[in-house]
Amino acid sequence: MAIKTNKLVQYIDLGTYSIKYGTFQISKETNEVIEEQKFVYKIPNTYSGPDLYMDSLGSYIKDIVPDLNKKLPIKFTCSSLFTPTNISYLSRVDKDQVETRVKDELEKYASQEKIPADGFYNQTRELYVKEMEDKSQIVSANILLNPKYVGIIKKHLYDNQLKFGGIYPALYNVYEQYLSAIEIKPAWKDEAIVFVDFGYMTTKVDLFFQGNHLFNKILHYGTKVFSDELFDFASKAGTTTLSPNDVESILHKIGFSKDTDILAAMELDINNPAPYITNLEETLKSIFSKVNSSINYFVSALARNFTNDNAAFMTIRKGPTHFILSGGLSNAKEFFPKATEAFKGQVHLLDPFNFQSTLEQTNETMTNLELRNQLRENGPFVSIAQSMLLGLDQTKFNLNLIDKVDSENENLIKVLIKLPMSKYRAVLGVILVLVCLRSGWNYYSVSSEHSMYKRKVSSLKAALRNVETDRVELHKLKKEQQLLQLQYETITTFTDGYGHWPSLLKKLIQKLGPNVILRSLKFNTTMPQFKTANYKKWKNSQLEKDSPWLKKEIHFEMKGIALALSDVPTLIDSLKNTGVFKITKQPATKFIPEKEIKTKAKTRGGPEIIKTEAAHYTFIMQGSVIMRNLL
Amino acid sequence: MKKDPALQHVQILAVAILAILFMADGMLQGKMPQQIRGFKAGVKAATEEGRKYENLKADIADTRQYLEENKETLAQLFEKFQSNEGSDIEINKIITNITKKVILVNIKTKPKYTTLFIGKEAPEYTVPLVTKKGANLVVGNAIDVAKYEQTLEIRANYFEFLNFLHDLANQDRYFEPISLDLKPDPDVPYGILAKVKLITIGILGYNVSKKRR
Repeated sequence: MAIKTNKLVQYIDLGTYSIKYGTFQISKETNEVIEEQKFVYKIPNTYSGPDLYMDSLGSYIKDIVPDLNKKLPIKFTCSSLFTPTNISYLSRVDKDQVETRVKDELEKYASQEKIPADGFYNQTRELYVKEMEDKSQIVSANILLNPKYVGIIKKHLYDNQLKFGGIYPALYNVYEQYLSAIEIKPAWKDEAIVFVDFGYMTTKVDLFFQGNHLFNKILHYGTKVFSDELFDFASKAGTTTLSPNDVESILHKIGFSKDTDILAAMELDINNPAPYITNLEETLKSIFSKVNSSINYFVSALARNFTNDNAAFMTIRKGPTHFILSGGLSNAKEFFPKATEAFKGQVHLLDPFNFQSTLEQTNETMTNLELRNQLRENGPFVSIAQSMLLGLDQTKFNLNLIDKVDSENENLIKVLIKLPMSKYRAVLGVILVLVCLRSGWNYYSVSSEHSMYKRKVSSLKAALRNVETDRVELHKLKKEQQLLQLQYETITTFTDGYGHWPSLLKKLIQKLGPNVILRSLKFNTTMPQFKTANYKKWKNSQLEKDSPWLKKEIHFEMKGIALALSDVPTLIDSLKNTGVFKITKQPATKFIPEKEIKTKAKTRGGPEIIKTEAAHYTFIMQGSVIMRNLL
Repeated sequence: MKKDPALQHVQILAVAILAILFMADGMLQGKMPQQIRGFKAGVKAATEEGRKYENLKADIADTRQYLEENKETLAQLFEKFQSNEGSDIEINKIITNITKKVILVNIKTKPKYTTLFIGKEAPEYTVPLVTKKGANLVVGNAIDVAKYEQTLEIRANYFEFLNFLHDLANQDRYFEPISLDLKPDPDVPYGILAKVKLITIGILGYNVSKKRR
């Protein structure tokens, strides 16, 4: 068995008379269920149907919350009144019809119980299958669970910060106990074993054989009948103050011993209890009788079809060999002898926390009073102990009727929510909120700034769309402008110092005077030039001496005759005074003495002509002209 | 009271988560302003480009205005300094016309030749870039100047020669005597034997030679 041992599990058994709850585990050493803590909560209201019970569940849970462990998920084992269970016996069903028939059975019972047939939590399970050529013999269990009840249970748990661990139906629980029994007592496997649980409202009968769960019957006839009868007797006696607790006390202290003295000592408000005491045994017999009838019905009417062979059938036919009885009634005084009388097999009274010794019980060991007290203590937890076997078996988690259950390991958020130190929680919360707000605001402001810049960039980029076209346009215009400027500069450079030559000559002639005769006059102009070779040098030095632009210069040279030596300096002065002429070189003068010049006669034989050339000076004068001063 | 170890663990975990949140947030937000700074730099660059573009457009407007104002005026001036296919003929025609009243002994015409001139007042210009990319648009400052030279030998009296010089200065083209060689003509009263070298220039336009410098 893959059962986890030494692991605490929290269970609640919702019963109609009491709610049993606590934390339990299966001991690794003894393999027995042991309790960490266990409680029994008596239902304050009289049971009046599952709906009213569920309506009051909130107040019941509120009452027991202080005893519950909030960390452990709570597993439920419910009374069959909340999880109605029915067994279907399908005989000689075509193999291909099995699924349909099983489904039909579930729908039939769902309809009877007024629970939605397609409810999430309904389950069918094949308990026994026998193949016969193309037919099948099937025992199937139909377990119904009203989703409304699940919702109610969960709501009340969560309202009280409790965890939900699932619901295990009683049918599966008892089967697990049977499996445990045949593991301890392998010989029992080939014997018919019956488990009977005497509940307050119902009595459950389960028959097992060869490892199969062959029969289940829920008799709607339980220990409540003792209360009802006492109430009837009490009413007849004129009092109505008797409670189920009184009945429980009577059963425990008097039971079926017919000891009226004890009853008198209990001082119950009942005038004549003797008939009631006498009647108790009859009532018990009627319960036993109903149980036996159910078993006999199966043994006689159904067993043939749902056993593997004749030998097996014959074994069952002999009747069950062991009856394992449980429920509050089982620890009533003198119950065991009555049960032994009523049932043919060996009777065992189930102690859920000492199951192995339960199986060892004999008629002799059952006289022990201590055992009865122990049963009284442990008896209510039978369903829980049975369910423990199921709840801790990892391979059988699917037998839980609820798929989604809370984890034992809490997630961080849940833990944070449950942090008891609220001041830290509040501070952390505030910091978290501030961080979120700060982040949010920063992201908002940055993203809006980002989009603003994005828009701006795109509009600027759009504005720059025609840049290259305009640059080409400017280039074209600049070329035109530059050409104009260059033309103008060239013209002004070339025409700089342009003079009116007639005026220059006139001015020169005027200054010559009567004593000076010109023989030759030369003007030579050096035109403005651009010396390409100098350009690079000038670009680097920017000095005037390196300038590639050469200016216009006009030079003159005059040759002439002056009668007196002083005429030349006079001429120089007068020329200088014009501001136009600049004598750059001292004039060279030469004295020519008087001489006779003889020339032949123009006619043959004529006299020779003699001319006398007076003494004079020749001069050569050089200089430059500043034309702009002419104007 | 002994503290619940699970609770302690959760508290430490919560504080650690908050610290990680702070750090992650800080890292993210530290990066975001960098991105914004990047965008701001982008906007600044685009704004600068915009300003450059405005300047460029202003330059276009100014240049247009300059051309509108000066083109026509300067055109009259430039007419005197033209150089085209008919310039030689035109020059000869003018010289023939102004030497009618003097004796033109000889005339020599030098073939047209071209010189390079780079403007001193108008430096080379490059169209400014607005964005990081763009064509390199340069406006040069070198132009070609065509020169025409004629050498005239003239016999005239002093007054006729003065008239010749006067006429020379009042033509539709620009003429400048670059060499005057005057001697008295003994055969004629006030006679002058003159050798005159004239030059006239015409502007061809931008220098087309790649090796202008």
